[in-house]
Amino acid sequence: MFESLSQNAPAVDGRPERTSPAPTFRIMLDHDRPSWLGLVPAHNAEPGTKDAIWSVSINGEAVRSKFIQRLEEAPNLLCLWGRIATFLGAEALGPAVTKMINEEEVRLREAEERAAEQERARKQVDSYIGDEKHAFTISLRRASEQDDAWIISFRGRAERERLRDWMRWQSKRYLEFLEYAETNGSAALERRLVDEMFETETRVKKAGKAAGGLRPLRMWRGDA
Amino acid sequence: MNETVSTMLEPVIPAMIVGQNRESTDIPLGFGEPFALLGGDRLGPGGIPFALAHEWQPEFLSAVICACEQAIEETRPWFRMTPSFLTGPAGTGRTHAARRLAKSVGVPHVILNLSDPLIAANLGSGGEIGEALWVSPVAAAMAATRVANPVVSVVGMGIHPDADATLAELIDPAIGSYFHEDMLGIDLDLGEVTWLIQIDEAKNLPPLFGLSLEEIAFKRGYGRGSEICLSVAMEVLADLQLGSEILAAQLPEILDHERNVASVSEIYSDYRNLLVENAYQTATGDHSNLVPVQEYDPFAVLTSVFTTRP
Repeated sequence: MFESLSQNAPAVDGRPERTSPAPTFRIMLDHDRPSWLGLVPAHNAEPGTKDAIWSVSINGEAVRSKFIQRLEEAPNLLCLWGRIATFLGAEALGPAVTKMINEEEVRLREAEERAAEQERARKQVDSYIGDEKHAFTISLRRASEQDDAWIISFRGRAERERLRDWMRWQSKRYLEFLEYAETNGSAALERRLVDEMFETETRVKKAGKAAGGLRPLRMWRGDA
Repeated sequence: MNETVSTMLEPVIPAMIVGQNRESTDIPLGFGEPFALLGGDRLGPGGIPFALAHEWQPEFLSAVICACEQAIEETRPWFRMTPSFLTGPAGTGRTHAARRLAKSVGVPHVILNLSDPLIAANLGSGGEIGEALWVSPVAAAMAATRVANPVVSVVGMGIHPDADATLAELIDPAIGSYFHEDMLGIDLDLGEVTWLIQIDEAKNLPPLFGLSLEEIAFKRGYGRGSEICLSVAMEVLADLQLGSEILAAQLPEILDHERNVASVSEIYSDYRNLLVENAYQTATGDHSNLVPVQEYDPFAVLTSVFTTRP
């Protein structure tokens, strides 16, 4: 009997087909303890938390999600961690993971700060002038952008300066102007600004405070 | 009734008689006694494939998984892999993989170097002429360990055509069961041996091997911080019988090892030197050459690996 054992080898064509190996380790979460996550061998079909070869508690949903995402995006890393924990024990991973979590927290905080700064810059609108041949412009631009968000152009410098005498005192309303343009279109904003400028000019003239010539609001300082 | 409960519950290790003598009952080196067939207790996914730790060579891992599944399907309670040829440039870790496989299965690993004249003479001898000067390494290893299913790494093919031709017969499950070992004067059943034949390219495989072999392509898979660093380091530890705490202390350096070396054997050599030196210095209290812990962040390497690897 013993001698014949090897002759029972299957035919070459009868071999099972080779397939790509599945990941060796996977992340495990515990619904009872949301901050807990562990690493378990993937061949363990129904692992309990005690089966984790390594685990960590991460407070903060955002940091935890980012941490998990980074691990899932790098299966090689997951495997390396699994092997280190398997061969050398969970404590061999401890300092590295703590450092990674701390880095993740810093990264997240920096990202939040960047987003806040971006939002602040988006809400900061400044006015610029441009002088080109037959095109004298006033534009509004968000601090977060490189390009103008709205622009009005005049053929003559004097017309542009006339509007500018009024606009320079409206800087607190620039954001409102842009939002109006975004809602109603650039031409509508042009009409609105020019209309408001005329109203102001009329009011200032009535008050006897207007300057002469093409720029009645040249001496005006934004007072009502 | 001499059996105790514990002995009754001990798992039965399958075994086979490897040696036969057609002319007499005299069978030397214990080949007439049952030799163990090992690995059957670890055929599941958490056994050999997990212990192999070769995710960085997916083809090899896949072939091993396949061999385990086949054994389970055939209800064969020991490990044997279809004879395979491992292709890839020198230094891709084929011998390392074979050693890891043998360790995972729990069987000896034997290197059969066909370029060695003595071994070539043993394999290529005609039997009756008695050209063999020595018993083959495979037979010697089997006799020494009393294991019938070792893992054999075959290297040095293409130098001695007679030896190559005999190897082609050996790996055939039917013919290999009656390999005549000249020096012992007996037939050996090598049908349960796992043959892993190393060759640089599949096209260089002599035609006499036909379609009986499976190709397992090895790729240069080692990069900074890759699993192979850990895998090789573990092999060094096992060879030197050092505790894993030595490796844990050197982990950052191990993972940060520059990978511009030519081969896995060079990595092995570097790690061996590193670990031996540190083990010696730790044992003798000579810490003059050890890097003080406070001078570097021991896990900075790991962390940088985390951020740079795909």
